[in-house]
This record gives sequence, C-alpha cells and structure tokens, in this order.
Amino acid sequence: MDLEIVEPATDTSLSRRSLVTRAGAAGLAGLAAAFVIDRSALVSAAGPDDRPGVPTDSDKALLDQVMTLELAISELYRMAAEGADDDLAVIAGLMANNHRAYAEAIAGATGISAGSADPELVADNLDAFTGSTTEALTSAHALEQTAVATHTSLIAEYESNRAIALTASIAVIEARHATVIAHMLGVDDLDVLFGNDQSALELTGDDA
Amino acid sequence: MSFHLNSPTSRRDAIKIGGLTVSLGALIAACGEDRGGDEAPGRVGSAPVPTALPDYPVDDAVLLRTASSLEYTAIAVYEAALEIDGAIPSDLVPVVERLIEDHQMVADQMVELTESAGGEGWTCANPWLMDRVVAPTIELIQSNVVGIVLEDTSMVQVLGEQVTIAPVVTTVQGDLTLISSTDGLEEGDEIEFERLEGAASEDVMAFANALENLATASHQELASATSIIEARVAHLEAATLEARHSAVLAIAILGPEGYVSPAMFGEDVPPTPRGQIRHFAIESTFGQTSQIEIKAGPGDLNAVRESVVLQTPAANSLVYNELSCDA
Repeated sequence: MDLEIVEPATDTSLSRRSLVTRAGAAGLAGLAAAFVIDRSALVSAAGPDDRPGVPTDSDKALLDQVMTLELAISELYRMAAEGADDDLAVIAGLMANNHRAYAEAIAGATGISAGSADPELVADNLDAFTGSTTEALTSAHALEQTAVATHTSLIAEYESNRAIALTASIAVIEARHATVIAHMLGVDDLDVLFGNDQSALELTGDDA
Repeated sequence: MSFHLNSPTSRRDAIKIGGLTVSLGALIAACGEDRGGDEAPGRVGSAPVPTALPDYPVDDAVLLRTASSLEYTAIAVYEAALEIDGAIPSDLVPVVERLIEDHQMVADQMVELTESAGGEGWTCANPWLMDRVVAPTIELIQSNVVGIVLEDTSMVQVLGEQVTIAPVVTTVQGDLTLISSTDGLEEGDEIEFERLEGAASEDVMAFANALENLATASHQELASATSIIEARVAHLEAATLEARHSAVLAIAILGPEGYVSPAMFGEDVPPTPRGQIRHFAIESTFGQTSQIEIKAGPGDLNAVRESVVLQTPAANSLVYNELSCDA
C-alpha cells in the first residue's frame, strides 16, 4: 500500500504541459468568447421533471463541440498507444476507447453524427503524446483535467436531463483517468492527485 | 283470491308483475354498489391496522441535506477507522486525514447551499446509513473469527477447515491466534480466534473505497436531480473529487494492478485470496450508480464472508426536512 512508484515524477506540477494544452484548447473550434458562469444568476432552474428529456438546440451546440474534444483526446491516445510499450499501450488504448465512447454517446444523445477530432488540439499535443512516456502521460493528465473542468463548467449550461446526466457520467471517469495517470507519473502530491488546476475550455456553441 | 295453477294471466296482472320486476331490479342495482369490497390485501388475525407513512416532500433542500449527510458519514467512518489500532496503514494516515478535510469542505458547501435553498443545513452523519450500514460493518470488521468444536473435541472447524485446536492454528488463509479458553470444551462449543493479520485493515480500506464510490455515485445522481444550477455544479465537483479519492484508495489497496478493472478488457475479476471483492480506480466507461458490494468481517465456519451493499440515497435514506440531527 504505497502511493509512490519507483520512478519519481519529473514535473509533478504539470505546469509546462498544462500551458501547451491550454494553448491547444484555446484553439478548439476557434472559439473566442469567454465562457463565464455568472454565479448571481445561478439561483434556480427547472427540476428534472420540468426539463426536456433530450438535448435542446442549445445543448446540441455545446455538445457538438465537446464531441470534437473527446474525439481529439481519443485520437491522441490512439497514436500514443501505437508506439508505446505494453503497459502504456494498454492504458492508452483503454482511454482512447473510453473517449471514443463519450463522443459516440454524445452523438447518440444529440442525433449529430460524430464528426472529426479538433485538428488544432491534436496537432498541439501530438508531439507530447508520441514522445517519451513521461511526456505522453503529462500531456494526457493535463488534457483529462481540462476535459473534467470543461464538463463541470458546461453542466451549468445544459437544459436537458440527457445532457446533464451524460456529462456527469463522463466527468467522473475522466477524473479517475487523471488520477491514474498522475499515479503512473509517480505523483504523490495529494493536491495534484485530488485537485484540478486546469481551466475549462471556452465553448459558446455559437458556431455549431 | 283462490289460487289456480293454470289460471290465465290477465293484462292487469302482467302490468303488476312487470312493475314489480322493474322495482326489484332497481333496488338490487342500488344495493349492489361497492360490492367489490376493500381493495387492500386481505388480513388474517387481529393485527393492528398499519399506519400510513407520512408523505414528506423531497425538495432541493432535502437533496442537499442528504448530500451533506453522506459527507459527514464518510468523516465519521474515517475518524472511527483512525481510532482502531492498525486499521489504517501508517503510510496512508496522511491520505485519510486529507480525505477528512475534503469531505468536510464538501459538507460545508452543501450546508451553505441548503441554507441558500431555504432549508436547514444538515451537519451530522446520515442516520439511516449509520444504523443500517456503517455500525454493523464496523462491528463486523472488528469481530473475531469463530470456530465450532467438533465431535473430536481436540478439533475445531474454522474458516472452512477442520484443524487441531492449538494456541495458533494454521489455515490456508493464514495463522489464527486462539483467544478463547479451551477448558472443558464440548462438541458444538464456539471458540474464538483473532482475525488474520491485516484482515481488519483490508476491510477498512475496502469499506473506505466503497464509501468514496457511494459518494461519487450519489453526487452524480444529485447533479441531475437538483433544480438549482449552483448545486448541480457543486455536486459534479464533489463527484469528481470523490472519484479521485476512490481511485487513490483503489491504487493504495491493489497497487498498479488497481488502475483498471480486468472487466474492462472482458476478463474475470476474481476476489482476493481472502475473499474480498476487488474494486479498481477505473471500473467502467461511464460513471455507474448501481449498488456497491464489499465483504466485511471474518469468514464463517465455511469461510463465507458477509456482504455489505451500499446504494445511493433513496426514500429510506434521504434526509427529509422534518428530520433533525438532535433527534
């Protein structure tokens, strides 16, 4: 029962890779408008019995962009798995499948056909994912954390039960992904294992 | 009027008989209402009439009170575990202390949201969970191994094996230290042994992991159930935090083998050699809200261990506005 593994982490703060991810994230779908939660407005909304069951047009616009994020992460993991040793290949393969499943679940919920991965996000992170094991895991950790932060922000925006429930069920597993990856990196800092210093992607749904 | 068997029926008699028939028909129809009787299940004997349960409303405050009750339940379990000698491995004590801090932070947030929703903040453990799950599980974990003396009173059946009674008996699962007196033993007597080394600690860690999974699943459900957007976000933040807690505990218990469930690759998930159900950091593609099962306490005479099942809050475990921590 030891939280440490033999190989120490080279960069437990994950800050450099975080910046790369943020840069990539900022280019996601070319979305510029800030996604800001106005806490004063978050007082009441419809309960589950009064909300629409299936995603509304507004939900679909946001979920469409989330789908490109999930596809991008899946694509990066798939490329990492191809050149990795056994252990990393197994984990990366599993996570590629999970993120692909999230994109497919969104497509199923919205009726939007699963499009393509966000090319900029893939391009910005490709070197890291196909680099050393440490680089791949560090970048993967940052992307998982970004995805969790994005889902957590967006859940306030959704109007339908399906979008809310699906988002919650995806975010909790992506948080687990992040923790496993941090452990693989040798991180034993509880602030990193339990926390999330990544920012949410700035999605508006305006151009979906 | 004389009666004639074959007397002809006059037109007047026919009218009288017809009118009488119609009147009797109406009377019978009137008396026939509600002939279905009581629709409740039949009762035998003289048992008292059951009292209808009160219909307490479930509003946002109830959901938030339930959420904070789960956090306080986790805190209570961790604090109890820290009091049990050796229950938490020394290298994990700082982790458990951090878990307590995190649960207190989430509890405070849920209490604040409860009060914003017009409810009274709930600042103690969930009474239903404590009575029905936590207390019995802690008791099981601390209970001794029980064996039954056989016809040959020098032998005992314990953990599915028949062994010679001695201060230390060896079983497939490990050595058991006798703690009962062996004076005057007769067939069928119960004698007790200490639990296997590390067994109580393994159970405590499994229970802690199960509670984190329960908290994760509960907040995941509550994110959908609440009508307050700020609470929705707070529930998801709590769900992801507690998912991370669970992942760290799973890895602490199983090491790197605890990263991903073999079930994710279509493989079987065998229990541990001591029969504990394995739980992993990643067990599914999507967050699940189904029941969580672990084993607790020593095996019985046949080495069968008791199951503990945890389920997300439902009607019996919600913290209704009518409940009070003082009650």
